Amino acid sequence: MSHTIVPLMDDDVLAGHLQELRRGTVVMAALATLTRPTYGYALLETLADAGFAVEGNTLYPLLRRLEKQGLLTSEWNTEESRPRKFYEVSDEGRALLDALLAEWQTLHTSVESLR
Amino acid sequence: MPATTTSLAERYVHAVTRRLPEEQRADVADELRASIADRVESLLEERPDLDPATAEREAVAELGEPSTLAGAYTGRPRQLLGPEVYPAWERTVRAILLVAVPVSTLAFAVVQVAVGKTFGEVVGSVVWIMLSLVVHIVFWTTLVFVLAERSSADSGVRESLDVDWSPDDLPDAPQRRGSLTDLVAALTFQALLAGLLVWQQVRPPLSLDGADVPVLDPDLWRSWFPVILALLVVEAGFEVVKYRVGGWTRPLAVANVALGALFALPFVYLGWTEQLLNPDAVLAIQQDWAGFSPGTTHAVVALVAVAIWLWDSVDGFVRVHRTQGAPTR
Repeated sequence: MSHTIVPLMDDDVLAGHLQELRRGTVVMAALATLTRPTYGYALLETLADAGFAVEGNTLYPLLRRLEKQGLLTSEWNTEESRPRKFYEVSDEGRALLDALLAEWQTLHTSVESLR
Repeated sequence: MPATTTSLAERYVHAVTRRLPEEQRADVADELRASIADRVESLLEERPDLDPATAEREAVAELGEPSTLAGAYTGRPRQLLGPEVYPAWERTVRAILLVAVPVSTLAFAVVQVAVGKTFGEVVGSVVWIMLSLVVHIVFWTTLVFVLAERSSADSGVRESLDVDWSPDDLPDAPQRRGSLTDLVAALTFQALLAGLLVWQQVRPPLSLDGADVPVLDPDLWRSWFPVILALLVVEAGFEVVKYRVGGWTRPLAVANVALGALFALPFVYLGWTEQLLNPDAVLAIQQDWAGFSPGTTHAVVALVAVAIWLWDSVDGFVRVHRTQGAPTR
């Protein structure tokens, strides 16, 4: 979509900057998705479908870190064919998501007012 | 659980988790196993032509280098020295190298010469010592910084290593300097001259009746040669001063005339009074070249010394004129 807005820009440059912008938003996207309990690989696919091309080797350690910070809770589900670790956002995680989204809005307004 | 025994996935999981703290291992291993199996499943769904082994290989490859993933889990730095510590490391290594290597090497060389080692032995051991010094200094300094960064909780260590930068650390703004090419050329020439003087004595190129004979009269080591060596050091100091004050000035050009005269004087005097050449060396040369005239050679030395002095003196004033005329002043 952005390609049609800036047709003259070098594709690599654009991709690099978009990736950098999205990298900082992966936490928001993960917290938002995990309002429903989800396991690692399913989260990876959901995020990829939503345009957050995050790698497994980034996401799996990230989930552990968020859990350690008390933003996620986890539970092993052994009912299905293979045991999987399901993560869900905690109350703290919800509060963080709200704070991050509010900041996101502020940043958007600020940038708009600058141009 | 799927019976995969020591499949690629299992080997990968092991490679990652063995780098993790004991208490995390089992849990991370189970989750990684499930994630890889999930990925294999979806790869096979997306591309039915894939065989399971290839899909597993691809799923594992996507996760990348095991130690990198393990590092992401533990949060341990995946580099020897981080960007935060690097500038202090560079400052320290450079400072130590610049001081320690020349001083120690010079001291070592002086001792070697004093002990009576031959020219070749001295050069060889000096080069070896220099290399060893550089390797040791870089290695030990780096080790200290790596350890300091890894135990970065201790702020005293960080402070002593000058890691936390402050504006007070700024170096002075560069002053207008003279030509570095001139400086290096002059110092090289002076070092060569001093080296030649010592070399013709230590490793005489001539021999008479089987005995080595120095080209220049060895008796002069008790009178004029130390003076000439001292003057070379003074000349080198003059070049450094000239560089630091930003190149040629009128007082420097005047000093250059005086200094040049002092330097030319021993050669003119020794040439004029025919004392410079070693009489044995003259005999040795005349064995191969009967027409060799020590008188003419001495006269040429005296004349060349005067010519160089005149040319160098004029050159000094020409440079002053050029520098002051330059619009960059």
